[in-house]
Formats: sequence, C-alpha cells, structure tokens
Amino acid sequence: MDMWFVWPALAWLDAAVVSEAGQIQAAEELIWTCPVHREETSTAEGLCVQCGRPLVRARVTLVWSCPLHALAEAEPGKCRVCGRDLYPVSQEVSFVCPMHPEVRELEPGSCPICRMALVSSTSARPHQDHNPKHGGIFFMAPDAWHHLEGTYPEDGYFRVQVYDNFSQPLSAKAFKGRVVLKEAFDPVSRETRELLAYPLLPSRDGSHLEARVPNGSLPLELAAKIQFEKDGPFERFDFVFASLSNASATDPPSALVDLVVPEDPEAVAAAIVERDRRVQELLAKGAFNEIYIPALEAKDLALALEAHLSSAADPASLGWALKELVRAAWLLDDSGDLGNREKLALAYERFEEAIVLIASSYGVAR
Amino acid sequence: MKLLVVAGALFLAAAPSFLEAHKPTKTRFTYHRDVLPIFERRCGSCHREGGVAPMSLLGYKETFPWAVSIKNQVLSLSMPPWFADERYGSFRHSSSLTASEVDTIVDWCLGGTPEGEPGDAPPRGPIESGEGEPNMVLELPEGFLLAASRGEAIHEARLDTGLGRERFLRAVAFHPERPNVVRSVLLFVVPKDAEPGAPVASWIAGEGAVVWAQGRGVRLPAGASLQVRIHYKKTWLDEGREIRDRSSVALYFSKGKTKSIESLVVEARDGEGVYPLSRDVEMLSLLPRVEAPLDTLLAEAILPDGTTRPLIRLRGPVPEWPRTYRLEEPIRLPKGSRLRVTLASPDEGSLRAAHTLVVNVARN
Repeated sequence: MDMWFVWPALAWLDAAVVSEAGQIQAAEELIWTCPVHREETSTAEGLCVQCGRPLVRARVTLVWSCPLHALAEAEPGKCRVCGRDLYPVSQEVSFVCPMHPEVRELEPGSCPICRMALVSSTSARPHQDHNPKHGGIFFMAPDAWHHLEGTYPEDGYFRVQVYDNFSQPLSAKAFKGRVVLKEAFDPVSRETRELLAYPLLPSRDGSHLEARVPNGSLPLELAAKIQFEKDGPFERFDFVFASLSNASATDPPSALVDLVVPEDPEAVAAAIVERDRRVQELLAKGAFNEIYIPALEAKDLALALEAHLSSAADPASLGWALKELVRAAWLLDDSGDLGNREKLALAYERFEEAIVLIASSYGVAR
Repeated sequence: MKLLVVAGALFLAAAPSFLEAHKPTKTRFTYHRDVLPIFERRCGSCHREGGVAPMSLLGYKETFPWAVSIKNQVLSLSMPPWFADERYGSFRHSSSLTASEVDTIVDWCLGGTPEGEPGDAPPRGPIESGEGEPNMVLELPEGFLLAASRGEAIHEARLDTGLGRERFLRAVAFHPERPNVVRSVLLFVVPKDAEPGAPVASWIAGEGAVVWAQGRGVRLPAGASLQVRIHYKKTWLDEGREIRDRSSVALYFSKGKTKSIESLVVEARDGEGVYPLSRDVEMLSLLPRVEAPLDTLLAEAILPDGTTRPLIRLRGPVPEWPRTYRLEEPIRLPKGSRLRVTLASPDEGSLRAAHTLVVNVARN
C-alpha cells in the first residue's frame, strides 16, 4: 500500500478541514452529476444522457496533483514525494464520517450517527485529468473512453501508455498497435499507404506498448495506430516530439482563463488574429491538445463582434466568417483532443478562411 | 483510522475556482432559457412531434439524448439543411444559424445539457398566418400507400385544375396529410396535351407557402393540370408501418396584371454547365437539384461585358433537400449573359450525375 506518501499530507489535512471549512464551501462548486456516469455533469437538475437517471448533486473542487502520485494539494507546487511539478485536476469532494463509511454528505458537519466531525474525501472524476503522467503527449480516443500518452523517452524507443476515462492505467496487453514513420498519399486510389511502420508490442509488465524506431533526429513526427477493441478500427494519433520526453519535467498545462474582450471592434479583430497565430504555433509544434485554448478564445472574441455586424462594411461576409469561426473553433477543440492531424488540418482550413475575412474586414494585418 | 478514509486520492482545500483540466464540461446555457427558443425558430417546423424529423427538439426529455448528434450536425453544416453561403447572395427565409446560435447549441450539447427552469422559456410567438383563403385546393386523386416494407418512395400524381381560362399563381401551399413522411415536393405545370417541363416550385418539409414576388406569378393556361412529385421517406419511428397519405395543394391566384414566371434549366455535367440567355430576364429564385452529394455548387452570371456576378454558392448540398432559394432582391440580367454552374466534389462519379439548376425568371 502506498501509505507512506499519503501520510505527510495528513497533518496538514486535519488543520485545513477544521479551520478552513467555510472557505472550502465558498471556493468549491456544486454541480449535478449522474450517480453512475460521473462524466455526465450539468449545472442544473436533469437526467443522465446515458441512462436517464435523475442527476444528483456533487461538490467539485480544484486540486493540484502529481503526475505519478495520487496527491491532492490546495496550492500549485512540487510533489512532496518526488518533486515533480503539480498540475490542476478537478475532483469530486464529499464529507464522510471516519467511523461510518455510509455517511457521505455534500456539506461539512457532524455524523448523524456518532456526531464525529466529518472529514472531506475526494475522488477522481472522469475526463478531468488529461495530463501526461510520463512527460509525454496525452490524447483521448474517439470512443471517449480510452486515453493514451505517447512518450519518446530515449532515442530509438517510442512508448504508449493506455488509460481509462479516469486516467487510470490499463494493461497494454489488451491493445494492438503500430507506429507509422513514413507514408505516401496515392492520389489515384485516394488512399494513404504506409511506407515505414513498426509494431507496438506490450512490455513484459504490461505497463506500456513499445516500438523500436530508428535513431533519428528531433523533432520526431510519427503516427500511432492503436486498436482498442478486438476487430475494432485502428485509431490514429499524431505525435510530434520536439525533444526526448522527460518524466520529471511536466509543465503544468495551460487552461482557459477569463477572457477580456476589448470594446473596440478593431481591437477584437486584432485579438482574434493573435489567437490564430497561437493556434498556428501549436499546430506546427504538434501540441494538439492545447489548441482548444486559443481556438475557443478566438470564438468568444468573434461572438463579441456579432454586435457590430450592422456597422460592418460587408455584413453578409463578416456574418459568414463569424459563424464559420465558431464552428471551426469547436471542431479544433474536438480534433485536438483526439490528436488527429488530418481532422485538425480540415478544421484549421475553415478557421483560417474565417480569420482572413475578419482580419480584412477590420484592416488588421495577419 | 483517518488514514483509511483518505488514503488514495487525497485532499483539497480552498481552491481559486472549479477548473476544467482539459476542456469545459459545463455550460452557462440552459435548455428552456437559451436553447429551446433557437430550436423553435430554426428547427421546430420539422423537429416536433409528428414532424418529418425522427425526433422532436421542442421538449427537454426528447432533446437531450441527441446532444452529441445535434452538435455534429450543426458543426458539419448538415442541419439545418440550408446550404447557401451568404457571401454569395442573400435569400429570403434563411434557416441558417447565426454565430451565437451555433455556439449556444454546441456549448449546451457539450456542457452537460442542463434543463433549467421551464418558466424561463420565452413566450412562443403567434403561429405565422398563411395566405388566407385559397382559390382552389387540389387533393391527390388517390391516396398514396407507403407499404410497410418500404422506407422511401417517389410518387408522381397529376392534379386536374379544370380551369376554363388562363390564371396566374401568386402563391402555392403544400399541405401534407402525413407530415411525418412527406419530405419534399416538386410542382410542375402541364399544359393541355403536353408533358411536364421544369419544376415551377419546390417545397421541403418545414417550409411555409411558396409566395412569388408581387406582380409575378406562374402561368396556368386554360385546361392545364399540375403534376406533383412527392418524396416520401420514413424515419425509424415509422419503420414497418403502412402509411397512407393524401396530401393536397392549395392554389392562390393573382389579381390584376402579372408577369409570367418561367423556369430555365442549367444542366451541369462533369462539373460544369452553361446556359446562354436569349433575352433580358429578371431572376427571382434558384432551385439547385443535385443528384449526388457535392462539396460545392457555384452559380454565376457572366455578363455580356465579361464581368462575373455570383448568384448562389452551396456548401455540401445533398439530394434530400431540394430547396428553392428566393432572392432577397430580383437580379436583372441582360440578353447575351450566360449562366454558369460549377460543381466541386472529390468523387468523380458524383460530378458526372445529372445535376441541374432551375432558375425562375420573370419575363421583362
């Protein structure tokens, strides 16, 4: 049991629960979720999309966790066990009785059975932790159930770790795959042929799939094709490694922050062009799972321009560009999660066409 | 003891705010307050109980299980089936979603589909009134039986007007008896002892009456009949069910002087088609009839001086929805102009199909 690294947090836990209970309540958020399908969440009462059960209340909070160790800290910092940078995840919080495990409450208080003070307990929520655990690149499979992380830990080796939707590791022995390094598009058959591919084989302990790839120069671009279900399709994930994966240096991932929308439409257009530049950078870098941030920011900025449509030189064209940008931004978000370069390229084509029009409408240089 | 409770995933405390570690999993929009009004405006004429669509979007319980599908349809421009690109022309009765409507729907679909308070729904507007009393209502002479084993059928029927003198149609309304299976209708005028030519009007499920511009109308010669070509299609709700339909067509005649509307047909084969105009015309509406899905369809007018004027561009048109796009303002084109249709598709087979563009023009 991993108790040794849980222990140091406990002393702090006791103090925090008692003295900061009020603050906890203020800082956390109550949402609605399905009692069975915890990934289904809502800000209001309703029914689960998957099973139709009535949603129940749940308290959600932000914690800082280590990529490897199941810690949950209140503040960003370093893992107290291994020293890695902590990253933010959302967890479900409830208040439980230390003596009566059946007592699980949304609010702090005392146990209705023994009157002992309730202590908080957190549990992971699905799709809240899409952060790499081994310094690699993390994607979600199209089935929204499997997740995977590709790493290039040393020259000549490419590895894939597979996770479930709670980001818990799954045995690699259940999956098949290959890594494709070179391919060619045949315009006649309209098919892509693989010219150079290596099998991805499970490691002896089942912790990952691994392929030997020729020693190559960086950046390394490759596509992993993984079969998650027997007889299912091989799903494609595009990876770009600018450097060797360093498991001890995980940058805390960026996240959406509150967006400040300028008053002046020209300034809004300029801000949209700036987001486009960031999308381009991330695309070029292969940092596909971060593209949603500038893409969705550009979308929110575009929505602010809708109010200025009537004063635009060509309202029909600008109106078209705004709605095209909204659609393309959501598509970039979607295909970025999946790590699929082809889908991203198609979505970006639409995004770019909209950006060009918006930029020219307001005389902003691109 | 405490160790047992908190072992594993640990603890928490005051945190700045709930954060999406990856992407938003919640939305500020609710069904009743934000989403339903859009669905009523844009989707409800088909996506209602008994409508041609397989699911209603006008109730929370009917709608939310379709969230993923709704999101995909809206992002891929498949729904609503309005394919005209507004950069190339402006048309009446657009059902195209605005940027914020797209965003509200997608954000709600991805963000947990909250219901909200039914009391938040804005009051429904009055139902649009029709064109008043029709001059003539023609029923299908015999009901059409869509057999239990058939999912889809095209049915053509001739409707006799019995008109002793020439009249002009200012409007026409289709009334499907079984709106759950009537997808689209094409209407042809058949003069006495003649064969039907190009369609003079089209209607797709969810549309209101076809009303032509003031002072313009479709000529019905004495003794003419109307031909309707109805596309019936069942949704999975009606699979295995026998359905009998006896739809009707309501005709509205114009009073006073009326310019006659004619249909020109631009045929496009292998991706392009050209139609030279032998006289001045006033263009009123465009009915693209694609026979296979296309990436784009572009129609332009090349004026006698060589300049090009775009008329319409469709993105991702499909054969299922033969919609007539009515120009906001008629376009006048001089004799000697050419109408050019250009198609694009990665699939050569799709390009080779017999696509046409029917152009309604009024004689000048």
